[in-house]
Amino acid sequence: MLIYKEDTLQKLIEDFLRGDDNSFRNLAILIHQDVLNISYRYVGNIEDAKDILQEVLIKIHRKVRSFKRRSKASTWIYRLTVNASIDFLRKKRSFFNLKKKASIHKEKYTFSKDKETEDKKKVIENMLKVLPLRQKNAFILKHFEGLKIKEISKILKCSQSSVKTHLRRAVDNLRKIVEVENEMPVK
Amino acid sequence: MRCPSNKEWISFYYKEMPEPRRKILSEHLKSCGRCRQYLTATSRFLEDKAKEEINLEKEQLYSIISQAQKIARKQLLFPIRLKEFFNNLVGNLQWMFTYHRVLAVVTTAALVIALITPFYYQKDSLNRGIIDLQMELVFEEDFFDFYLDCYSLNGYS
Repeated sequence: MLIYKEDTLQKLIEDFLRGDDNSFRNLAILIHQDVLNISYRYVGNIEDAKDILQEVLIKIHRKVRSFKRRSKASTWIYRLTVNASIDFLRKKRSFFNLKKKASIHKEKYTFSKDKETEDKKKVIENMLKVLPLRQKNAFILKHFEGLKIKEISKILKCSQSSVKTHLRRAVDNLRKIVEVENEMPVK
Repeated sequence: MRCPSNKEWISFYYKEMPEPRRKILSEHLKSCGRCRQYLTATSRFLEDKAKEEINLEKEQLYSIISQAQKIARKQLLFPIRLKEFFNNLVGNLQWMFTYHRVLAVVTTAALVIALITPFYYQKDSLNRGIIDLQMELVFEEDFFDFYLDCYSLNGYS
């Protein structure tokens, strides 16, 4: 997680501002895993995730001089990644609107006992595409990146209460869509 | 005790809750089968998510990094995003001197000329204003003399 690398990120950014090109390279190597993981959750394939990674690196290179350090470097990079992923999806017109999703909601997914984990993983990846944007943002950053609610609220520029609401809705929506062998009570 | 909301159970699962409240909810779980079932099912659902990591080969990663650097340097200059450029003028000029010295010198010279030119123009236009005023006065003087001549010719003293 990037928040554990905050000191290193700050140092590399300062070196980069002084004109050290190697520090940009080191910065990119340090952050690439987190950026790829997040963008992969949005787009669902590795090639597009690599495109988003490149876009994020370009933005960091261009905007680092105007980074005013009101937030942490990790928060800034997460924000760039989320925004780049959303922009990418908009350009590709990969968003599903909720009316179209209704047909997917009606489908029932069952899992073969042999490949249960693999099937569930694929289903959840597909279901993530169906979630509304704010719920998707909150769920990806909380569940896959393990960020605190406070951090997520800074990245998404909303209140902590909103993040909790979006997260709860995301979990409930995902659970409604997926049918598992044991009944899952939904309040 | 009233059952907590789903929102609270999600926070409980992710351990994003103040300790006193967490204890209260833990106590509630002992007596409420419905909440216990919900939390168990939600936990099982969320824990099943495989947190897959994407791995890139080093060559691929280095290629992406160098490509990003090239594109970013070009974008800094062509097309010039003026608002971004002026937001951090000194920093951007420093970068230009590092990578594109000729263009940096031309840009600096253009900025200096742009700053000085209005003052020269103002000086010229001030002189022009004085000349115009003098011309006006001369014209009025001539006209006044002409009027006097006409006045005397008509027999008026």
